[in-house]
Amino acid sequence: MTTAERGLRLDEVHVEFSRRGRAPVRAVAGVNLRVEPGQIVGLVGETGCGKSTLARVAVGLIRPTSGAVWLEGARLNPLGHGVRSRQDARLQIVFQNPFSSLNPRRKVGEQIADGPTILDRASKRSARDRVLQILEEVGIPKSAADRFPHEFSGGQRQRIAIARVLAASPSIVVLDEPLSSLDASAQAQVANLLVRLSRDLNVGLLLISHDLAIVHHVADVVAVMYLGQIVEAAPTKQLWSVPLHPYAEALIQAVPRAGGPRVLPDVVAGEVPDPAYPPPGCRFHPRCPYAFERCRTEWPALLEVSKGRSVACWLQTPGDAGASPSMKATSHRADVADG
Amino acid sequence: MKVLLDVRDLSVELVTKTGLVTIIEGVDFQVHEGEIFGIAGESGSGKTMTVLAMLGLLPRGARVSGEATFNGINLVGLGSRGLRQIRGRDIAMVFQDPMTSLHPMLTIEQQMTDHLRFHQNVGRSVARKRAIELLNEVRIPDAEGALKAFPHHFSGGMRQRIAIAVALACRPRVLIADEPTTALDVTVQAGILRLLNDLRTRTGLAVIMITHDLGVMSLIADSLSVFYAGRVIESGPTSDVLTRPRHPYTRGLLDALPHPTGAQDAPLVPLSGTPPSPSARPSGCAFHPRCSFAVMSCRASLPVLEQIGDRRLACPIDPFREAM
Amino acid sequence: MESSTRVFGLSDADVVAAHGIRRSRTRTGSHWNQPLAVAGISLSVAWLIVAVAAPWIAPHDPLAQDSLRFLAPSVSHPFGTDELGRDVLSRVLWGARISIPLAFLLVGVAGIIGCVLGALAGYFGGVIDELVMRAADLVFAFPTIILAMAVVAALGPSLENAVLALIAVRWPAFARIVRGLILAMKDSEYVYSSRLLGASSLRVLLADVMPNVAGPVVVFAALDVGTAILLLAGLSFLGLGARPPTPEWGSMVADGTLAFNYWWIGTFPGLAILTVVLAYNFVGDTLRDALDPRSSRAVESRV
Repeated sequence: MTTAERGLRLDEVHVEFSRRGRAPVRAVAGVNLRVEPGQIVGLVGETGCGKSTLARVAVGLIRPTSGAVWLEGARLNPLGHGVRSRQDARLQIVFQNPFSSLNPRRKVGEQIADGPTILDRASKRSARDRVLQILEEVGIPKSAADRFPHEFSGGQRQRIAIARVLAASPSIVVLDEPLSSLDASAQAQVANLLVRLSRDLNVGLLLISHDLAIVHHVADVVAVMYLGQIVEAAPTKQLWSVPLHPYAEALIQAVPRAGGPRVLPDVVAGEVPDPAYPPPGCRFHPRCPYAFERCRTEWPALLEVSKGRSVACWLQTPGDAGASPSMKATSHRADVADG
Repeated sequence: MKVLLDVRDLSVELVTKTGLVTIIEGVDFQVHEGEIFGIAGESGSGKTMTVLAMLGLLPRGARVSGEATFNGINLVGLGSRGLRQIRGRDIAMVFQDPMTSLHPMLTIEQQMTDHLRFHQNVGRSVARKRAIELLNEVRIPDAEGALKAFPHHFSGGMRQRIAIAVALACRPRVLIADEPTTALDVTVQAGILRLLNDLRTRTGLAVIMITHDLGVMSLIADSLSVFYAGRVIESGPTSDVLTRPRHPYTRGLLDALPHPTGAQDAPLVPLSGTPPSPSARPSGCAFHPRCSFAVMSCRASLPVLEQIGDRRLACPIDPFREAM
Repeated sequence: MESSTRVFGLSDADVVAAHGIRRSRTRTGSHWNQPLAVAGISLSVAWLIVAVAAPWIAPHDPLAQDSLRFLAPSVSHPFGTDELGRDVLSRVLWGARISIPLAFLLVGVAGIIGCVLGALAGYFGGVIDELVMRAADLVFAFPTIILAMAVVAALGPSLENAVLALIAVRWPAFARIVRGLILAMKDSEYVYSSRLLGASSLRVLLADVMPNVAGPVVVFAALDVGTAILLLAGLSFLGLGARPPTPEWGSMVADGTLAFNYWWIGTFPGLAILTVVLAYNFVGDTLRDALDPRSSRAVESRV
């Protein structure tokens, strides 16, 4: 155990679900991920990529089939029948739907006070103080403490859910599509809040979302997920300016920009395969415009190609300056032709 | 280009227990052959109401006035018989969630051929052939196999394509798409948008695209009308309106969006307040309580949609008027 | 299923804001002011008072056979006299002392047993769930009254045994409700949140789950009081409950069927049953509307 290690680390995490009479589904197939305190890591991917499962295994709601989750250098115990330890409770989650993530029959203040009351054995008074303090941090009026969740709008409820989690003084918070159920204004407000809280309280955030525009705005580092695996991870600006993985390239290119040119994005061929039957070799190869022989047979590991950037693609080599897939493909074909 | 749909002064009022509530008012626009016409606005702005009003799909207690002329016929006040002829045959619609707009218990073949046979009175094999043609047009692989399948066998993107195929069965002149890609992944969305674009280029189909997503509008809509609180507040060519917005609301909407190349550390600037509900509409310009440029007259009088070049604007203040 | 308001793009919040109502109120005031609520509460309270005060307000001794038999209703005997010369009014009033407390007892005990078993079954699942649910299924397989009759017949007809039989027959309904509620809640996100914040299973059950369960259970119990009174009267009517000369309404109705010409003997006890059962049903309905913090009925009545 490294005492100096802070933050969250997923180490070769696999999650497989067995199904009766059918092939098992490997929703997460070997993910390595780190989140440092104060850092915002965005995880993007489309339907079927496994990001929700990843959120749950990262926070301990699901036990990994293999691999482990480490929090501040100590192995995380998945939630079982026993009571969660104080240490493990420094890792929390905010769910997507603010209507179902708060108990409709308990007062807001009571729910926020759970963290301090249970974990820190706070007295009624100090718990109450903490509740009021947190409400102020998230921009909700103090009177909210004595009201019920249904009296608030979606955006406010999401902020209350964040407050509940923050009251437990976590070092890492996983957020599973926290903005998807909110309207545009509320999205902007909650996104701003998350950035501010992360910086002010030095909390690491793992922000899982399908909305690339918001992730681009908010995250320091972005990881792109496809069919259970991370195919590329890089600092946000670098990923957007030159994505190295063909899927990441297609994804980023497909995001519409208001006021942008009327150029329709290229369509990615085919459909996402059934996670129970992933293609051999590189999982993206059947849909990849640059695929060649090696892609069909050998699976590319996620390798660091330059500082802070990693890609899982045979077109890219470590140490080589990152260039776009189309450029790499052209030079690769030229190499092959030369023999 | 020929005008297919001419909407003038369309208004919808709703009878509620507390009185008459105006849902949309004074809506004007024209849709041309082969054009993709965008209707933008947040939820509750009246964008869906407008098309439902045109098609006579509003429930009892709704009063529609104004004109919506299609093929020389005014759809407003056209009896249910007449409207049923036009719906599906001349004007068709696809919705946001293909899971609920496709019948879960009928095969694809049944869904596609039912209304085809109703409108065109053709036999089963002719209808089937047409169905296969349509499925190929929307690029569903293995069209023959698809006919026997049920909606739940397909992914979201495929289902939306099928919904479009169903809508196109009788070769309508106008296709109304209400948030067709909102529930889809962004790469799947790209495919659907391309499909709509291809269809209009090849067949002259006019598309009315309703969405709150201004990015999608930028990609596909030729012209755009922005709705707020039941009225059109700005309209014009899409790229114009979205790169040089003149109405404070349009400007505010654009400013609130994360900019792909903008400063990352700058917080997003959401519009303050919320859109008013139809029963609590502010006097004068509905946007004035949230507008940083509002003056006394904004509260007193309703702004008229004025034509300025190829733009229409309902804001006498026009704060972003460029120096001409 | 969206309310009609949503079709028009109005959200619930819009409607609430526009009409200045809070969800716990209907247009004419709170739930408790509604006509049915007022009727229900007044009636049930009135009967409770009768049950308590019967010894003092009853004009005659319910067991005394002093008067002439089969007297029609008159000033001295407002409900007439029965086949043994007993005052029907007094017997009806005293009947409340029997039916109402027993009904409460019945519902209370069945409720507690059912809730505990249902909670264990729902939360822990597995073998406990199987055992409880199979036992419940066994009870559900038979019509309530038939099963109760069988149990009473086995134990020997008496009011006490009738109550025992009904408890045995009613607890599964509670168990099933509570189990269903808990199953639905077990996997809800707020339960996971609490557990991630260090809450133990017991704490989750008491603090998170119970508040959501208490409401529906109380409503069901209130409604069940009416049913309990009916069942008790039913068993007595069949001769399996109260033994003569106990003034229990059901047996009084039974007596009345033997003397149809003297309509007052059976009708008044029957009316008593009717009004009490209705009263508790109204109370139950009102409780249900009032206890749901998101009562959709308040919004439905708007547009």
